[in-house]
Amino acid sequence: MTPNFTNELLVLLDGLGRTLLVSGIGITLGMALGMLMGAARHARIPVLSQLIACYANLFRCTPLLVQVVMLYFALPDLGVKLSPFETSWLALGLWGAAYHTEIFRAGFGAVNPNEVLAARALGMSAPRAFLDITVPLGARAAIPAATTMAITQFRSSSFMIAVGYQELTYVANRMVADTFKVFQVFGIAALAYLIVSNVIAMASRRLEKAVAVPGLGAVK
Amino acid sequence: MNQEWMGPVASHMLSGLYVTLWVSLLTTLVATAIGVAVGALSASTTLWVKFVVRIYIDVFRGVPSLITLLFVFFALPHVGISTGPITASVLGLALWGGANIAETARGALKSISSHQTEAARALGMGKLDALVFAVMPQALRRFLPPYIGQLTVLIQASALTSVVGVTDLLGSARQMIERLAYVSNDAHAVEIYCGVLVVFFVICYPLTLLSDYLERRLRN
Repeated sequence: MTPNFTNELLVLLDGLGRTLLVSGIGITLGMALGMLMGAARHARIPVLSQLIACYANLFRCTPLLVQVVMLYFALPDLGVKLSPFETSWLALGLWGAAYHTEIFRAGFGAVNPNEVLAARALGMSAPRAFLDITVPLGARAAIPAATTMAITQFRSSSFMIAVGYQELTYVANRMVADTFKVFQVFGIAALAYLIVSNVIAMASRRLEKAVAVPGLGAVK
Repeated sequence: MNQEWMGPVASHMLSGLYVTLWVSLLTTLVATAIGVAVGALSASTTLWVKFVVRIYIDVFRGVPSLITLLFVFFALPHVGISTGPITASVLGLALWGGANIAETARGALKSISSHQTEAARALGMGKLDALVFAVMPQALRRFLPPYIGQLTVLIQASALTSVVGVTDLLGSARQMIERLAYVSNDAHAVEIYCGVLVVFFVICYPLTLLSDYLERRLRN
């Protein structure tokens, strides 16, 4: 029983490793895209801004699971063949980017316009003022919401079971089907998701404190 | 261009859509009942009730919806209750959605000053009357916008039922693609999955607009 149990734990840990890998790439991609698209939305660049709004609405109003399945099973018909791994991080990234776009747009919008006016009065060009004033302050304001979304992306990596990527939910589901240890296996998987979510939340609160600008109202 | 494949696909997916709507409706009802009841319980002053409520909300909100769904799906027969995949899915999703709605309800109730309860109690209302007739109506305007947002999440989560073999909209789409791939060399995967996306978008986009509208209107 005991060596068997150790073996099963190792299999679950292996799955957790893949979950962390695709989540890590997906979150990074989603935040990077979201920041760029949020900046374009904030700057109200004509046409591009509207296209990004359409993108965000389309990805937020359709299930991630359908997007995942579509990337994996429909794209080959258009000549793009992705592996389960590539599908997983790409789907998480593209889906997350839609939410991060709105989060960063709101963050940039929360920056006091007087700060930007002051920068412009000191002779900064508009792009310079955006990069040096709006982005650093707006990104700070966006930390809590972006963290919540990052955790949601991490949890949603479980949907990659649909394309057979062997992440934590996939291996747990497989193990339960084989061993019928419903409570133990899903209990451990649930605990792993809870622990990682809380670690991300804690790290984010530390980051928020570490980068807080003293005396600036926007960041608590 | 041959359009003959569309007829049977559309009629099969229509029955899938019916299942999706049915699952969404049931999940919404059960999750709302759980959410409001648990949210109200969080206003309790009894320590152990508060503790149990906290544990339920934190655990089920922190775990992927797919894990709770798979857990209920496997655990019910394990403890001797045999139900169809639809019932198990609805229960699994509702336990997860209920925790999210409960957290929203808890926040909304908490946002109402305790003076309101005290005033109602001073007028001779019982504890329950004060909660239901004095606090809840005021909390409703804080509750409604995020609640409607959560409904779109629940509707989208109904697609997860296809993972446990329910022939919902996504499940029926996959079946038709497999069938078409078997009988002809064109599975029409792109068109069929786009159809699924469109249906979800048409349902969820108006709801997000409604949620945004209510949030703006009820802010003050």
